[in-house]
Amino acid sequence: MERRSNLKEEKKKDEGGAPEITVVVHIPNEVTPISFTWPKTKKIGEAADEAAAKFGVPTNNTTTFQDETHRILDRNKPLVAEHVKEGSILDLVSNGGGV
Amino acid sequence: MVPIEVTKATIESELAGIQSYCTRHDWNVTWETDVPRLVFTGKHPGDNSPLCIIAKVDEYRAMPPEWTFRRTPESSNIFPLTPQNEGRNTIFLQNPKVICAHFNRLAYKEYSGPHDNWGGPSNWLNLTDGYVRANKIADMFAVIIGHLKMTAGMSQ
Repeated sequence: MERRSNLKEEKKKDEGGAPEITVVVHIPNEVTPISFTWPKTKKIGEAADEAAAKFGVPTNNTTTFQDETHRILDRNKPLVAEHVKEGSILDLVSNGGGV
Repeated sequence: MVPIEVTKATIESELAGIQSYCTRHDWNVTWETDVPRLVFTGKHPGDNSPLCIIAKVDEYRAMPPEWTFRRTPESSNIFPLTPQNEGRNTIFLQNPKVICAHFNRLAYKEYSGPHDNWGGPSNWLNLTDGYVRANKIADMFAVIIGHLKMTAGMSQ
């Protein structure tokens, strides 16, 4: 019984992918990126703030990521909901308003 | 007045980052030292039409750049269509047609923009939380590209 339930969990992980993903984060103004490994369910905003801190740049509540399709991601959504996956290349950007 | 040599040195210190960002996002950049301006050429991320984004950088960083859009570097100005932005704030004001962000000199009243509440363009690096923040050219360009992604195309 225990073996069957472990196999079921392994299959679920394989179907959904690993619970964590490793991504490459750039700051637009710098050449050298930093890699991060995060749970897929981590909020974009939390991940962006963590990346900004590692780069030593200040953040405010507008800091987020831009993906390879140029899309600015929603701070309030988890990484997986914004289609961030293993190997994604992200840029740290601000998404505040200006108008 | 910022001496032109200071502006050139500042831009050149940012060029590696600018070029790196452009390479990642399929844009090209030309640094025209005599104007001085940066000319970004690529495709609109919404409709793939050819697009130039110009940053006129005299007085940078004492003053923010003047950001404008064109089809080619010498054609007349165009502007993004109203964004389909899922309710998020846009930096593209339609009346007047100007990028409304602290990093665009043309957003300030002194340069015919709507904002007389930002302390003037020389205050651009000091604006408070809540506004979009981009203090270097590559950061500004990334914000512009990201907001363009939310539009269907350009006015012409």
